[in-house]
Amino acid sequence: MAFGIYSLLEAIILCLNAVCILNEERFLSRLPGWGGSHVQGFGEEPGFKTQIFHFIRSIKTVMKYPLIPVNAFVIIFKLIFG
Amino acid sequence: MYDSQYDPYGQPQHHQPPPQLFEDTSSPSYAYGNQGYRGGGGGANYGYRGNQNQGGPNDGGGGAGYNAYPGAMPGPQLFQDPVVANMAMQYGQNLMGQGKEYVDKKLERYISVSQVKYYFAVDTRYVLKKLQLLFFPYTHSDWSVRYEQDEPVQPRLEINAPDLYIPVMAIVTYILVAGLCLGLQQRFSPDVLGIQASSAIVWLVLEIFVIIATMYVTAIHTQIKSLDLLAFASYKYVGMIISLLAGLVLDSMGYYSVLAYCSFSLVVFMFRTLRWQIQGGAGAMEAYSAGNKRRLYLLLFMSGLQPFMMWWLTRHLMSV
Repeated sequence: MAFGIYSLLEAIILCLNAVCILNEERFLSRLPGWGGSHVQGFGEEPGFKTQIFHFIRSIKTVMKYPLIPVNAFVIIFKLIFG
Repeated sequence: MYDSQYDPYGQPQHHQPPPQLFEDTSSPSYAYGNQGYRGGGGGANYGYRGNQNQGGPNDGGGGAGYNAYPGAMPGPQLFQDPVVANMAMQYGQNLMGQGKEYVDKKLERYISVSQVKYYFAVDTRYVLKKLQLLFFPYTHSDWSVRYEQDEPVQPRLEINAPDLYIPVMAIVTYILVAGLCLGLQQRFSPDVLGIQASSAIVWLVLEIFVIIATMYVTAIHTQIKSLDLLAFASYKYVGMIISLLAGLVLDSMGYYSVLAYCSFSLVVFMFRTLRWQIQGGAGAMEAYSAGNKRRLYLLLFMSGLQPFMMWWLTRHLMSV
C-alpha cells in the first residue's frame, strides 16, 4: 500500500515513454484509421479511435524532447539513491 | 551602490509614519530630532567620505558624484526633507505594489486565484446542509445550480454548487483518523501519517485523471471544470471518516454497515448532482442526442467508482 506521489510520478514518466516509443512507420501507420484526417460532418462527434489517435499524436509531439532530460535525471537519481 | 550608501540615513525616518512626518515639522520635538539627525548624518558622512577615499577603486559612478558635493551640502539632508522623504516613500510603495501585481499576474496564469476563492466561499449553514445532503440525499428535489451572468452562484448562496472547503477538511481529518486507527492497532509510527496523506492524494489524482481521460476519449464536453471534479471526487472522504469511526466503536460489523449506507447515499448524491452537471439540466434528458448514452455511462462510471474507492482507501486501516 506504499503507493505514494513519487511512484505516481514514475508511473506517469513510464507511460509517457511508452507512448513516445511507438514507431511511426512500423507500427502506427499500419493501424486502420491512422493519419487519415477524414472530414467530420457537421454535428458529428468524433469517435473513440480518432480521439485516441489524436491524443497519441499530441503526446508524441509535445513530450518528445522534454522526456530526454527527465529520463536522464531519473536514471542518474536511481543510480545514486537506488 | 548609491542607494545602499543612503540607506542608513533614510532608516530613522521610516520609523515615523509618513503623515506625521509631514505635519509635525513645526513641533519642537521634530526640530530636535532633525537636529540630531543632521548631526549624526554629518558625522556619518565624514566616515563615508573616508571610506570612499580608502576603497576608491571599488566605488562606481555614484560614489564619484557624491564626492563632488561640497562638504557643507551633504546628500543625507536631502532625505531629511519631509517632502522628499514622502516622495521616496510613495515611490517605494508604488514599486512594491507593482511587484505584487506582477506576482499576482504570474500566479493567475497557472491557477486562477479568483477561481479557487469561489470554492471556499462557504458559511456554516451551507456546510451543515451539504453534510446533511451527503448522508441523506433522498428527499432533496432541486439539484440545479443557479447561474448569474454566466457564472455559477457562490456555494454559500447555492446549496448544489460544489465547494472545496468540505473536501479539504475531510482529507485532513481522514489522515488524522487513519493515524488514530493505526495507533489503536499498535501500528503507528510518525511516518505513517505522511504515507497515508501521500497515498490518499495519489488515488484522488488517479481517479480524476481517469475521469478526465474518459471524458476526452468519449468526446463529451460538459460545463464541469477540473476543480469541480476534484470537489465531487473528494466528498467521499466524509463518508470514509464516518465509517472508520464506526469501525472503531462497533468493530468490523459496524464498519461494513456504515460504509454500505454511506456509499449508497453518496452514489445517489453523485448521480443526481452530476446528472444535472453532465447532461445539462433536467430538460436535456428528453432531447435525445447521439452523445447522451455516453454521458449516462460516464455518469454511472463516476458514481459507481465511489464505493469501490471508499472501500479501497479504508480497507487496510480496518484489517487487524
